[in-house]
Amino acid sequence: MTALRDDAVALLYSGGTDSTLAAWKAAERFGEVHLLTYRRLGMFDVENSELNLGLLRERFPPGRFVRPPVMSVDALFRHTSYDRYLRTLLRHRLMVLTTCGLCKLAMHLRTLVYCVDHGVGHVWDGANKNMTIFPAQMAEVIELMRGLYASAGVRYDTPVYDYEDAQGINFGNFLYGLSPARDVDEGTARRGPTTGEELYELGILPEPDVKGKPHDKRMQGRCHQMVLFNLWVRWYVLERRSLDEYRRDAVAFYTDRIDDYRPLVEDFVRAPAQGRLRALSEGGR
Amino acid sequence: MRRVKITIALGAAVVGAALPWRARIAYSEALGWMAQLVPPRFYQVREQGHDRPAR
Repeated sequence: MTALRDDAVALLYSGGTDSTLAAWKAAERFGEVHLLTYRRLGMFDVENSELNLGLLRERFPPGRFVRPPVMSVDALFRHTSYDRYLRTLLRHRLMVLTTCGLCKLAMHLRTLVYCVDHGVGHVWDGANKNMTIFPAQMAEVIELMRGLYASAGVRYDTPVYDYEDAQGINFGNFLYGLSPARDVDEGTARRGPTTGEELYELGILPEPDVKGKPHDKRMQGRCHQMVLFNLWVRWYVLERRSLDEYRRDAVAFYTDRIDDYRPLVEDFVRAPAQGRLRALSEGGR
Repeated sequence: MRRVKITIALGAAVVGAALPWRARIAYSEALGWMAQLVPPRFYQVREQGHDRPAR
């Protein structure tokens, strides 16, 4: 296995506001920032992530950003969504529809493989506390992922997690109440800047608040799979139960799901060239 | 309104959970386009015991 370098970071990069600010911070801290963008069936225009990357490159020394080709996570996403499906459905019921969390888990697994392959010692992403219903952005799930990365010797951090957000539930009302909204009550006192405000100050964004606006759509891909997830959570679960109850169930589901991958990661660390995780990362079964 | 939303969401979710991989992706894509027709008054969700007013 290649030795993992402490001066290199792999960043899960969509090109959106949060991951772009994370990329800026990564470029300030690390000598080498690998910007990983993923695609899979149902995702469109992921090459839009080049827009902000071009602006970032102008502001940092040549070679700071490493940009591998966009990688497919189709096989991994299929596996995180459907492996042991009946058992999972019986145990966690419709939590199997938390598509965005399962997709992010697939991306994290692919990122872990990338880090080991390329000797990258750190992983960052644009997870933010305001994405309240998204499992992969819940502190407890992040901690579980941190443990999974640690078993491969990689350190996972979320540099923009505590940024505030001025957006209400209907931001990007292109999809009305089913968009991946951030739940911040209007009138709630903010303790700090938003990621958009900081990027605007840095000269990356044309205005402090682009979420849901045409510029937002030009700088990242789109995926409608979150609609089924949002529909179920917002119109069914949160109409009947509290957000805390939903989050508790989500954490229980992801605890089981991530546990399922622990043996695969351990096998991969022992023999990176073979095994199930390697096969899934390369599109096999 | 609340009952309508719950019924739609549960129905859509049960169908989604029963679908295999590619079919679920296609189904979600179709729901995404249909969702753009949803009127704003459907935004309202309850969180932590409080009704959030539609904006």
